[in-house]
Amino acid sequence: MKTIEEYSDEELFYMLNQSKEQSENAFSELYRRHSPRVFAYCKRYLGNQEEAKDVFQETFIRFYKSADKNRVMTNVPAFLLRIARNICVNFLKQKKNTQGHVSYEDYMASQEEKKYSGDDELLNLINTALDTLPEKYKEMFILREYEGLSYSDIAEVTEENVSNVKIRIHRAKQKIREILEPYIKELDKF
Amino acid sequence: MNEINQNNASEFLTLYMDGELDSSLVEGFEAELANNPELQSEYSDLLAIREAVQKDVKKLIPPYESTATIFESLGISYTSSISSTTSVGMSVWQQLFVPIMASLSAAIVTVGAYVGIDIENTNPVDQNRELTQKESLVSSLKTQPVIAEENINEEIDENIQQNNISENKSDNNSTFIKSNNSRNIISNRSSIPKIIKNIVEPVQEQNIEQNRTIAKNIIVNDEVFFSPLYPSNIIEKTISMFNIGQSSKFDFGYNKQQLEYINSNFKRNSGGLIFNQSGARLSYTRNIISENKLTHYITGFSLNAGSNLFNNNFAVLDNIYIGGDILLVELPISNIIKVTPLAGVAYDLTSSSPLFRLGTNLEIPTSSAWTFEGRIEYNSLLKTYNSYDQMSIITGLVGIKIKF
Repeated sequence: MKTIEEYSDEELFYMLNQSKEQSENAFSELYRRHSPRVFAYCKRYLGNQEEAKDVFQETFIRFYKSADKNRVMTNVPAFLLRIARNICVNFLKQKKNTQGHVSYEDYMASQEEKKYSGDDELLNLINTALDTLPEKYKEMFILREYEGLSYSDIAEVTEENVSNVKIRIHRAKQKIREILEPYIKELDKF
Repeated sequence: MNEINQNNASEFLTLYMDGELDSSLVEGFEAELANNPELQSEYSDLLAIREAVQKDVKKLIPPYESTATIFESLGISYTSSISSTTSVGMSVWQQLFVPIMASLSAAIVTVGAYVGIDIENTNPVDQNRELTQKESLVSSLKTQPVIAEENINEEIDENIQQNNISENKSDNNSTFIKSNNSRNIISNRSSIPKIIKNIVEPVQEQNIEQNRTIAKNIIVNDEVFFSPLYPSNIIEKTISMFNIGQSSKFDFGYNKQQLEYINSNFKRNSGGLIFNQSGARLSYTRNIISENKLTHYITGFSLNAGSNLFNNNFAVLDNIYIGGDILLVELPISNIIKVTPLAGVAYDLTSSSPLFRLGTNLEIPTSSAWTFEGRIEYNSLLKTYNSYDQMSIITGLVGIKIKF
């Protein structure tokens, strides 16, 4: 008899429609497997811990409710990230529509949140460089480098074609490298 | 794009690093990379960026409150997946043997030598009877009216008298009382429903699981919890003075289920007012989770005052003390057993002497709603071992806890 860990993502997704105990076990296991990456994605996309928490929570609630015995599931992580992405996009649209002027304090607080400790100066620079990129390039970079998704998975999450994904990832990396090259060279000296 | 040249080498590099380069082109690209210093430099830079990003990726763990919110919203028990992965085919004793041995070893290492445990007067647990009492306890909660807190002690005294407590008797099912001005507060099993009358709000049975780790609710768990009246900010500031053990690291080779169990049983703050055979204990506990590979730390303190500690034969002793305990580290040995060593000091007012108390809390969660607890304590002044546990008929741990 299999332990819950031995089931594939797709099998677990199917179990969400079974008995209460199976459903709970399956959801807990899927949560354990994928919650860190979903949270990381939300945090990076929104850049704000509190907003990321809200979106993250909503993502898994919607995921659980989306379990439908008629739905054919082939890629659970991509499905989760697609849900998260849609919520993030809508969240930011809503925020843009309702929010006018951002106070200086709020802006500085959001900048502080993005900073890392002294040893992570490179990370700070990467973060800053990412902010200079167009949104679509930034998103592709995050999904590739932070989430480790393949190009086809990224295409599924962002609803783009694979060619666009390839081009945007390449351009995002080139841009970030261009910005960070002098710094990386300095690091190499030591 | 099948041929590698100066113009497209960089694009090939991106595909190569992302594992998306067609396998038929890999060999050719690697040859180009070996002979192209500029491409090597670009590869090195992108690798440095990737390594920095990967370092950051490992740090992002979902906050516990988000996990709790999700599972609470969906009405799901987070520990259900843990119980389902328990090994099949091992007997209960096989599963318990290693954790029990490990917990005893941990207690010895942490608190010093234990000579032994006096179980001379321990009777086996009548679990059926306990469950019945718990069920009646829960149903009584639904109907009992609110009674002010100041009536609690009077109610307990009334209970003790009504149950015909006898003095100086080592009767396993009795409570003990002194006729002089020192008073021992003990509950016995049959008096539980009456003590429970002193709840501030009734609890719904179906909310027990949801309320277990969420603040501001009442839970019945052989102890009664009632809602706090005030937020915990002040308490947290006070408690931060007592945080210890944060830099300690214990790794007993937990497997994934055990780590999940630790995380899922994370309780931020809990406080309590507990009455037991040692008197009244006001306690506060704060859990701090560090990294997934370490145990979570339970740090807290309890202040207690009372009288009539027992010797090994449970004869009533005439002393009054006031003291405090500091809980050390909660050590979940497996998803079956947890051990929390504690150390405390107290001052015995009767003999005007300090005493040092070492003990360990043994917790065996039997289900998501009920927990059996055991506590073994060595009193340096009296040179006695005392055991308090809910599986024994000797003592019952009943009290009121505040969760916030």
